[in-house]
Amino acid sequence: MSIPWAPDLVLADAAESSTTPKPQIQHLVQSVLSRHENASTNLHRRLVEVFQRFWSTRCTDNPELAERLTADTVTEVMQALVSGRYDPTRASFLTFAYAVARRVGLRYGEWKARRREVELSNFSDSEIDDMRTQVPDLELAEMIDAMRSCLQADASAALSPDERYIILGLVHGKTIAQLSTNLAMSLDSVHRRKIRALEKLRKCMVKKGFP
Amino acid sequence: MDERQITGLVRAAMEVDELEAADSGQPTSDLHPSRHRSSRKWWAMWTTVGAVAALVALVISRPESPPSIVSAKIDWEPVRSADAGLVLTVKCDKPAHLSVIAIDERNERWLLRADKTSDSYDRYILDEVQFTLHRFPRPDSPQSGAPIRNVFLVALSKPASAELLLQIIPDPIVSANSNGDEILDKLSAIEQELQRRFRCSVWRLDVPP
Repeated sequence: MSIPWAPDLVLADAAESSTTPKPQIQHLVQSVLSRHENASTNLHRRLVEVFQRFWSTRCTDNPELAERLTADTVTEVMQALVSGRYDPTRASFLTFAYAVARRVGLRYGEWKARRREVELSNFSDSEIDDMRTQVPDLELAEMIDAMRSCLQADASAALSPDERYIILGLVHGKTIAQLSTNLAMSLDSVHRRKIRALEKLRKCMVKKGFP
Repeated sequence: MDERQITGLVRAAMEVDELEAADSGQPTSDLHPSRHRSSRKWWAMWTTVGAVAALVALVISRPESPPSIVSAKIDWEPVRSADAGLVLTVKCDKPAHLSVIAIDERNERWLLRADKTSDSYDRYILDEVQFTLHRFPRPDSPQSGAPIRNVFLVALSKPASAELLLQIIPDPIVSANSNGDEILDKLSAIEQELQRRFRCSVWRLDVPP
């Protein structure tokens, strides 16, 4: 995998941990957009560091794949940045980078599915939706940031601790029965809270312009 | 936006949270539920329930402390129904059933339940009582009655049966030929026995001449 603007040593340096405080990634992005010297190299190194961790936790049994997905993700993020496809006023940079990483991962999954190496059932419903709809990275990042904002404790969605626990638990793959045991609640209570939480989040997203 | 889209975005939000944590080196924020958190909640709930139950049990099972006599005095005072009477004023720290046992000059004992000495004390669950022991012999007193020499005050949280009280105090308390010291010894012994048997506040008063 070629990384046109990054010297090969970047991947090797990525594991080095710096003892000096790291600059905010958003500042590095601004530096790249302002075409400061070495800015691209610094941001690239930072992205490699982050996405190596991201992909290695998702491809624990295949480090080569993790490396390949890291390289693809970082390449595409940097390309999007220099070609003006990222707008800092619409989404945070890391969310945007995540949207790119997600697309890279799904593209790989789709390719594997086409070769019948993996079944589509290995992917979540929303991942399959994303494969089909191909939401632009920036638009997806905007929606994710909106949802992150809705999930904040003081957000307009204002989920109760139980509702929050249930929604996050479901997303983590817990069943209603497991959540019912964990929360010492009846199945009905958990279900009611889940419906209420979804409705609150939906309304919050509508308020933020995502009907 | 349907449930699938919402949960997809929540998952993405959590993954971005992980990404930020990986970048900053900080632990992930509270977007990540864990069993530990739930378990803490579970334990917190049961600890609270347990503590409340233990407190309730403690309050229920705690033996009620008996009332104590705070002050008592006995004195001759003019009374309406007679030319003079022994006025007994007793104050307890809480409502009490008060029993009064009088010993007369002939060493005979008289159980005077405060509720029976006057209509005004018929409930005698009082924290302060004042009642009059009329000069003996009273018109309605037994013919054998003689002037009262000593009074025992027994404050109880529950009414004591007269039978039980009278078991402790023999009648007469001492034999007819007993001397003064023997009478005093007997009065002290009765006082101690009342305290021991009823675990209560007992006062002995000497009637002034």
